[in-house]
Amino acid sequence: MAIIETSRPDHASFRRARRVSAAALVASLLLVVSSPAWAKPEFPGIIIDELSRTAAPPEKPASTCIPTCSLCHTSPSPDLANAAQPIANSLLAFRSQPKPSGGMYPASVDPDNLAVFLDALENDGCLNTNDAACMNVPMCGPCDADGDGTADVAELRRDADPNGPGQLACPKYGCGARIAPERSSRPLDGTAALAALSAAIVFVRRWRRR
Amino acid sequence: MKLRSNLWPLPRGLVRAWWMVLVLVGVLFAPERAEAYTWMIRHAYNGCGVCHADPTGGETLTPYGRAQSDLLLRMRYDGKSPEEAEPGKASGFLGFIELPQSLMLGGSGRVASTLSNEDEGMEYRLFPMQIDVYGQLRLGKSFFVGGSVGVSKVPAGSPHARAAQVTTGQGDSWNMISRNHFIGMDFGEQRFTARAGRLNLPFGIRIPEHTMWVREATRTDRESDQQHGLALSYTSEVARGEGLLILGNYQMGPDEFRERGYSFFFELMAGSRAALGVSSLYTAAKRDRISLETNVARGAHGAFTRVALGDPFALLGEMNLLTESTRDLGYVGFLQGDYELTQGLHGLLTAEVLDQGYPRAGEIQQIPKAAGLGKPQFGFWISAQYFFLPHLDVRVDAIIRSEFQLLTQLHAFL
Repeated sequence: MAIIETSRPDHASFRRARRVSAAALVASLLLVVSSPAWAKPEFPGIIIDELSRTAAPPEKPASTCIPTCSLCHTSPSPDLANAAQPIANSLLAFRSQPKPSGGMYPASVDPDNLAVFLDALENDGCLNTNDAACMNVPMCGPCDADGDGTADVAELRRDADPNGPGQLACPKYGCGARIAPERSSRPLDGTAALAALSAAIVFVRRWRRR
Repeated sequence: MKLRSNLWPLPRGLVRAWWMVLVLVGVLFAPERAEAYTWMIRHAYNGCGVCHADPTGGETLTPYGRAQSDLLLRMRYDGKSPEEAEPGKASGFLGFIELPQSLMLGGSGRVASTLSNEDEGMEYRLFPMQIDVYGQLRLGKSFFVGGSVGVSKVPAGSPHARAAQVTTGQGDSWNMISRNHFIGMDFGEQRFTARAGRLNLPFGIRIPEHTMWVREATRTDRESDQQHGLALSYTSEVARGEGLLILGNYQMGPDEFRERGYSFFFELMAGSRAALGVSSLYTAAKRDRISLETNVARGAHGAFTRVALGDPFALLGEMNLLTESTRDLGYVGFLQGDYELTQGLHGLLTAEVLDQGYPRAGEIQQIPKAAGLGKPQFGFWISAQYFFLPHLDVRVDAIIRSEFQLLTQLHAFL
């Protein structure tokens, strides 16, 4: 197999390249290993998990439909500013308000306390005065964004759309088969092993040369 | 396929370190797809088919494209200009494999982190990313087959990656994905290419930033917005274009969620460093898979331009009207300037605007008009990208919208 000659660049360029690449390598490794957590579950996953956890059929069935971000957001780029669907307005109305049982609801909705707000939405009187549950009644019942007589969380449990008529549609993705569930709770296990293997190969080769 | 013996132009330790990074990224499963850099128009590459197997850009590189990525894209440390230099040995597939002429292979891996200023304070995330491998095999003079396969892991309910799934995990488990797969043929002295399969939508400027509003709002990104259909493309020195008859995405169901319609673009070259084009898209579905609304017909229609202003500066711009049967008229656009400070180091500034259109049932549902929903919403990206070695680049984006996000990416392509 032919060996092709190449011109050797100057040493200053090599030193510069080494420094730059070493810095990039260190930065890359820091980027890779510095985060203490895998990606957090997004709200749709939390909602389906919470509805399953608190399921008690037949009055409180578990939902089978993983909602999309459009359940609460009016934009394909979800953020707080576009959390403006009727059910979201009702949920956000609980922020920093006193609980019937004492204490206060959290000041903001995040993955760690979404379950608190879902429980409030299902079991406490609605605090969104524009909601149908507060119309022409002395005391608001559980929020009912579309005013169809079925409370929002009850509709979610039955895979119905709380923001309007009809069912909460669930697209299903994929063609078939299923990859086995991930078993490791430490997602960097494979990386650590491979990094260790790579380092071992490098050290063994250097030791042999000596 | 034969292994090439070579004298590395770079120190062995450096190469070894580079391979360790590449493997680490591979195990972490970086996502998505390789890049299509439309600012290559600054080098008078106003078309895409010279460097990419796809005549409209993206994914698999041709051997010429690999050579140009080494000569023009990455930072050079030997002091030679692109005109003086020869493509490095490491520019080949996996850095050292010489492929048969009929076979083009590639792959892309990415790991990213975000630092976001959310309601409850700053939040850091490291995204689980995917590896994609892709390729194209030529069968005889005119026919070819190609596609991509990868893996993804996204949270339940995420709008990303799902539409490209092959396996059926609906939660946050790993899934196999295939963004593209197709058969095709060239004809008419290779000016025309017909393809059938799952394909990138021909629309607008094929930028790598799939979360840019202009790609999200029109659902024309290369992340997972591909559709199954029949495509015909045309390429010449003065014009290029492609049209896709959209038959639906058959990697999801039931059928009520499948969009059917068309998408096309047509671009005229104004000299070797400027191009002006138009795009149009129209789809209809019994139910929209994102908004879940019924009987949705949506469209996007607009114009775009790519201009090189002198050697180091490229300007990209696109503006589209958005039509949807459940909303008032909307619009989305962006303007991006890319300045190459020195070869391989880019600074970018991007401004974007979005108004999806106020929902027609908004007053009934008491949805207030807000930025992006009946009112214009503005966003700004301040970015830097550094192609520091063959097959490797890092990118940092400061994204200023209603919330601030710092996005950092390490990208490796095979």
